[in-house]
Amino acid sequence: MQMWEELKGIRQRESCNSWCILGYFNSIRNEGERRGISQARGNKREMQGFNNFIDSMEMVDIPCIGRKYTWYRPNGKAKSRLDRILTTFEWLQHWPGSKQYVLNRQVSDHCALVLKSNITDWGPKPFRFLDIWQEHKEFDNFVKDKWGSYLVQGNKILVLKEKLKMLKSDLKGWNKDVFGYTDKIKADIMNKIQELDIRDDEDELDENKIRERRELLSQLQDINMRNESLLQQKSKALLMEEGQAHLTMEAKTQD
Amino acid sequence: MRILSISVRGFGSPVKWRYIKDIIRKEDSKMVCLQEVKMASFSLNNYCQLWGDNDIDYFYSEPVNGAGGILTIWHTKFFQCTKHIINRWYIVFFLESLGRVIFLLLLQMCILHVIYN
Repeated sequence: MQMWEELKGIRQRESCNSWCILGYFNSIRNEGERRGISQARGNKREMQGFNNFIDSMEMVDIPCIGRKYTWYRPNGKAKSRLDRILTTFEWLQHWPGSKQYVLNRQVSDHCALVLKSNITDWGPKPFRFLDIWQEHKEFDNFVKDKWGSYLVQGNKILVLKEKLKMLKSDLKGWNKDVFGYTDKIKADIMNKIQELDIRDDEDELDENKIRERRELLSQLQDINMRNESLLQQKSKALLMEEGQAHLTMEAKTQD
Repeated sequence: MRILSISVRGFGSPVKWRYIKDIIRKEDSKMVCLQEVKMASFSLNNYCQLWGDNDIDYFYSEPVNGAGGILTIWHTKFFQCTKHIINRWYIVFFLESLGRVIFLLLLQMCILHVIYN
């Protein structure tokens, strides 16, 4: 067909190999891509022409997710895969994991197609050391014990790398066990203090209860400090401090 | 990379308009390609309204005798078009995306059978 030839010409003229062809092709690649349409004359030739076009353009029929057909005759008697998205290998290298999603049909007798490349490689995940860990009594021993327990053989650098990797995942688990439920613990402590306070209002508390309340208050203080430290670290406190330093500078110059 | 493509079969009804507008937002599309739009013309205002903001560029290959009509709108933050070829059957874009040169070919062959028969 003349249009296929025209497009092949454009493809050959241009040196760029990152191509994507999408839209309403009104052609199918094989009999499996349609249902309910009687065999019309020239269909075989049409399919062959379309397949040749895809091959000579060096296009890839990228994975399809969702519906199998993209067009449904309104009376429901026929359906076909008339729309598709094709890309080249080079395109797939730029956007790995490119897939075509066939959405549910709504306003047209054709379905909408979406090209997505949803796999993004962000590189290795960063490891964040939290300052609050050092405050914890058991932290030093935990690290020492764990570090001693790893058995890695081979090159020294490799051993270090592997041990750090294992320590990282152990620390993640430890963090969750020790600091993971602070919200709940904090709520519990506050409830208990509240209870004691109410009882104190009604009649005098004995020695034990007063000591208990003092302990609870100091625990609450610890938790609040810890949360503060965590929030500061997570919110890129450095930036904030710098911003504030800048502000005080400005205030000074205004004076 | 998120590109939406659909053969809308006429784009006059507010229902279709609403559908495309919603789906662009829902799928976080950086470019939308509509085939068989079958509308004589649009204003820039229409395009901006459909997309939701003004940072857009577009092509519209108008329908011939009421058939066809290919519309494409894209976000200029993600794509810059350097050159293009437009006719009633297809639009070939030569785009730059985040420093990469890519080609996008938008096809529409609703009258293909006429050529065949």
